[in-house]
Amino acid sequence: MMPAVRRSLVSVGLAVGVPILLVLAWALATQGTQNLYFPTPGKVFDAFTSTWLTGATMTKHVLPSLGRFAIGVVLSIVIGIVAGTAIGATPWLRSLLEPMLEFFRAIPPVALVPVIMLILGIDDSMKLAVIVSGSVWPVLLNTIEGVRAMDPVLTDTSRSYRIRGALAYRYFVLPAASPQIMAGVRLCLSIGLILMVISEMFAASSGLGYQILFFQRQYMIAEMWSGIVLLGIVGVAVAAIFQLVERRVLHWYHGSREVSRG
Amino acid sequence: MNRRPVMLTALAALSLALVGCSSNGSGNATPEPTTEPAAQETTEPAGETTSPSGELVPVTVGALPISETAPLWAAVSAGIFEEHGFDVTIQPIQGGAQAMPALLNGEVDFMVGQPFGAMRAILQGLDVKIIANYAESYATGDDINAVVSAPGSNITKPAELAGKRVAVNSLGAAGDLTIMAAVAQDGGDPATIEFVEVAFPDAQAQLEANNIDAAWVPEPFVSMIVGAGGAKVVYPYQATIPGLPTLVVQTTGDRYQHEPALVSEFVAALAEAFSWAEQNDDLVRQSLVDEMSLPEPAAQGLPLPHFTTEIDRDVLQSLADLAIEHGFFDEAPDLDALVAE
Repeated sequence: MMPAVRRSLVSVGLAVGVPILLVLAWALATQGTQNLYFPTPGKVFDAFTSTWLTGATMTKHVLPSLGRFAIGVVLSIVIGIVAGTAIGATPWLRSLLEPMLEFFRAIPPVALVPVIMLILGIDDSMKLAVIVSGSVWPVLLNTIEGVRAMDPVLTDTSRSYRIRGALAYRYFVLPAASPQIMAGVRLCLSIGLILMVISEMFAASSGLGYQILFFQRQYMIAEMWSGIVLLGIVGVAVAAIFQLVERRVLHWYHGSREVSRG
Repeated sequence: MNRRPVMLTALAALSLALVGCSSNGSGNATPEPTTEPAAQETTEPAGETTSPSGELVPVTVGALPISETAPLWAAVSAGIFEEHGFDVTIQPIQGGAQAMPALLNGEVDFMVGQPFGAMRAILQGLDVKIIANYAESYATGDDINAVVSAPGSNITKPAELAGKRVAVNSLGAAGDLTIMAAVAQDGGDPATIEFVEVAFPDAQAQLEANNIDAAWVPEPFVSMIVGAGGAKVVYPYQATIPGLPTLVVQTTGDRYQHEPALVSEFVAALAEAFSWAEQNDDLVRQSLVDEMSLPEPAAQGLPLPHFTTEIDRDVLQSLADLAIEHGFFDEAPDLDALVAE
């Protein structure tokens, strides 16, 4: 068998087989138990279908949450890349702002929520601000770093060809920084998902994160686990989409790495 | 890149296995009376707490870090519980649902929590027993929690809460339930109220920022908000179920069944602690300063609920009935199983 085919068979096997094994282990561990806190996979599956796969919860809780997550993450990425290239390309701005950025990055968004609530109210804008306030940092700092660490030969070449402004940005700066930016985006996605849940812990009455907490407090533990499973599925889906995008954006980069590895 | 998934799944499998172990090893969240580590500590002197050796029975009580816990703190340091043979540790808890696992696995022996939460728990099949009342709201006069509106608001009676945004600390509990009932009673449509969750300490700022129209808060926040120009709209407990307990003492049904002497002695100690607290109001208020860092004047003026161990079954029955009427419960909780004789 060709090694490439074998490799892809193995990875498909892992991707499908390992979750099946995990669910089996889960079923074995919870077999025959009446413990409310560790329900069997069957119970969680029932709770999943009855709780989440109904039109009402989808439109009231799941879709609004996912919408806020998407908008929050897109905002983070745009703000991070735009501000990051500006700061990264301007040495004086960088030395001026970098210590401060490190300071703000260290502030946990959860601690800021009551303050953000006072400024922005308790609607979607507050929840978006919570998501952005935490997930913008990896994109921003990675973009600064990526732009700053651009190959000097590349900079000099583009300068000697007098390629400036938008053109240079589109064809030199952005591609050169994109491996770092994409690494930042990957982190931004997972942080954004966590913050989506956290933003619904305050002044909320709907949303995926809110529902999970609600079930926990109502001792509806199987339903709580089913919400966590749904979050996990969202995480997997987001990671898959990211990989598709990354492969398109960075195909030259992966290509050149493979060449240099031989 | 190829190794990571393997590592991850190994980790996940390991953690699952650990979870499996702990749930089997100490399967005391299940109702079956297996050996419990906590039970061993307490069984030997359970026969009579005034054991000849004079050894104290260690007991952990889970309680919220709120002003209602004041008589407990004060009575423990005054030695009331020691006279009954208990060495009481008060464990601060975040809420009934968060502390329930600790109660079930024996880390906490008794828990002071809301009766509504206990009903929820038994409806979900958890082994919980209400062994005594703890604090109750007042059937007449100034109550200890209220729905308050912002300064300058035109909400003056419960019916006007319909269609408004009302904050409670936690949805699906006694707060929003009694508010809905009070609004319905006053002729408003409770289904149109938009409830949001806001923590009690944040409510005043949110009211003043007009993010919410009204908020359900306990003392001392009622006094603070009214003092700043807000208005009391309704006492939801008093308006719907006068004298509704805010907190009750809970333990597991297993402990109640197997250690009746310990449980009844603890209730007796608590009853004495409450009557002692009535005589020693200054010490109770001092514990607010010591344990909660309340400023002295605030601790002096703080309205406290009525503390008693006497359970009023009818009041709990009304609460359960109200919960069914407003769709909070699908079925009636079994109060005979939940509440001790």
